[in-house]
Amino acid sequence: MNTMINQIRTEVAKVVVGQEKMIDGLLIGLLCEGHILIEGIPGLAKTTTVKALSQTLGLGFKRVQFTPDLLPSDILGAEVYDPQNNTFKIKHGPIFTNLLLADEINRAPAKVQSALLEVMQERQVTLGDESFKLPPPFLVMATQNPIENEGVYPLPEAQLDRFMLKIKVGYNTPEEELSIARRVASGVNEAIHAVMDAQALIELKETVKKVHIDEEVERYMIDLITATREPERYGLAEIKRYLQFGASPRVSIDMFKAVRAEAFLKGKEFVTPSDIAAIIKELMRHRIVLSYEAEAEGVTADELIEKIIKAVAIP
Amino acid sequence: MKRSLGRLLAVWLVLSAAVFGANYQWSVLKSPASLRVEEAGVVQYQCTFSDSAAEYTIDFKPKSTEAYKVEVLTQRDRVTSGKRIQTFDVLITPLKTGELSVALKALVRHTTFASIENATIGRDNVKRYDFIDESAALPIVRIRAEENSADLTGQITLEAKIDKNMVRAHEPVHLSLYLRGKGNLDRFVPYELNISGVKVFAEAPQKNLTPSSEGFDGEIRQEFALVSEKNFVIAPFELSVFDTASRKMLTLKTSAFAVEVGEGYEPQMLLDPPDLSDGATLKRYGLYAALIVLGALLCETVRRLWKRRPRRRPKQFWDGAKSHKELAMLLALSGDKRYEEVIADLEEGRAGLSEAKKKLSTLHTPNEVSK
Repeated sequence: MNTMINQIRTEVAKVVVGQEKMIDGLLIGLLCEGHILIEGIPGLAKTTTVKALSQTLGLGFKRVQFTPDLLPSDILGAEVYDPQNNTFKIKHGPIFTNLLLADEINRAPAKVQSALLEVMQERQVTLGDESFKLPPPFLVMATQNPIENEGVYPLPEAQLDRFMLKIKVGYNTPEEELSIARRVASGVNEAIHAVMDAQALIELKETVKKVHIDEEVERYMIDLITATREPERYGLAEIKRYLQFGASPRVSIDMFKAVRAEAFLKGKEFVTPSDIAAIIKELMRHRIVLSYEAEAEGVTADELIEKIIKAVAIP
Repeated sequence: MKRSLGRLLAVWLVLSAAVFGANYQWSVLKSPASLRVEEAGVVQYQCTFSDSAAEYTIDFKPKSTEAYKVEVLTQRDRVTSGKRIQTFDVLITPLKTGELSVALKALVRHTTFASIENATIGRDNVKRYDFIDESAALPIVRIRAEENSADLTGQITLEAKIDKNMVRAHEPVHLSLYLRGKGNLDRFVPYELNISGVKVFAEAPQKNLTPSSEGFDGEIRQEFALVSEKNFVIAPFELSVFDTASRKMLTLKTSAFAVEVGEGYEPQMLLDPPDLSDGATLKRYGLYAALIVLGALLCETVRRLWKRRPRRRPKQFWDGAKSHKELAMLLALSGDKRYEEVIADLEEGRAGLSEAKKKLSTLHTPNEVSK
């Protein structure tokens, strides 16, 4: 099965240099049916990666650029009046796809964000009297730009919780940057081939579900979640003042899924604590609510997660 | 009628005491009968009050005219037998020949005790003393001013000195000119020195003078630096003076100075040539050379040792890991794909903590610091 994953990586690598963390995160999202929030400055191949991934998987892909004047119907679709038949017709929006790239999601007002996030949760759209199930797999990959504050509508914590992973995309290494520049300058674009289809993806998902998690490791994961709520129980009383709310039960659910996928991507049949450590920041950083004191002192969620990992006993 | 006259008399007495106060009289105690033009002479004026005259002030600022210059030299104030006496020594310097009629004026200022009291206590409506001013004409003094063609007048000496009379080319000779004594030294005109083939650098005269009964007392010094390539002679300085002691015209003259100028310095003359025939000199030079070579060798050795010093490895985030499990967690937490192999080795027991740490150090370039 890992051959297929390697093939996907090889195909994506034809257009995207580096950014393995983002690619792995997207694959985990695909394998676990979890939505992904990608944060990074413009120009880091966020859109290219998602597009390449959809081509590799032979899945439908649509992109919506979120703007302040966007309406829910621009995403979901609407009932349109047909004067010839004197009836209303359903016009599907771009949401009816497998992979939806919601570019700069925080530029749209709350009502659009809510409409999208509701669909993300229910995987179903209701237009007029009719409800439409979205074709599986359905995955939203939303991007947001961390450097702009004006004219943006930050996602509320409850909505952020619906994203399984929040991936921070950083700059490429100098070697990767050189490779990108050379590749673009040469003007040679390799064609991306579909290496699997929807059915193969379903089979992959089933395989991921079979990745074993030992009970000790399961308890370890629960301990990590609990440490975000009651840090003093794990000798982390000093970070309690930085945490307003800990991770929700949805984090536990997603963690159990994501660590399996993480181990699977590494070609393992069981989950080890290092798999948890590899994915825990992406799972939690947007789901723990920091206090005002943390913001004032410049303490980040990632720093708190690192402290928790170091404090909780490893099985 | 008698009562009214008595009251009027009483009021007049009180008022006259309060307003008119004491009487005073100016006199001349001493004055020269004749003076030479530009010769200063002292005229002594005295003001004698009828009583202690505590409420009187004399503001005496005499003004010079075209014919004479006048300055107050000293002022003395005393009370003798209940009478206040003020004496002024005034320096008169005729500026023109002929009969001088020196008529000076002083301002006599009279205040009251009430005014003094008000001003001293600092009453709100009183800022200063109230005065009643009166201009007093001093007795006229007549002085005969005689002609004087001398440059200066007084008891004056002139002296010139040079620091050396044998120099090398371009080596300066310092000439100092001293004018000492008392008289109208303030009228001294600095000398201008011009000697053919000699560069002359002159300083402004340094005056150290104090006022005296002769005009001024003290010293004037004028300095010159003379530079030449050839021999030269400094001609005598001359000054005509009317000597007030002997009442005669004198001509002050300094001696002439002949300066011998030798050849200039050559660069090689500035250092003593080493005497290489002397064994001690050779030994000293050998020691200097050895010290320089030794210093260079020492520097090179230190440089090489410094280069080879054990470099401190940059602190890595995994340094604190105390077990292989902890190390695997820290590496996984970093999210760096380079560590996946090491993590796998640790988890599968193929590598221990120290081995893994060694392997990790090879993954980083020396200058790279892990996140």
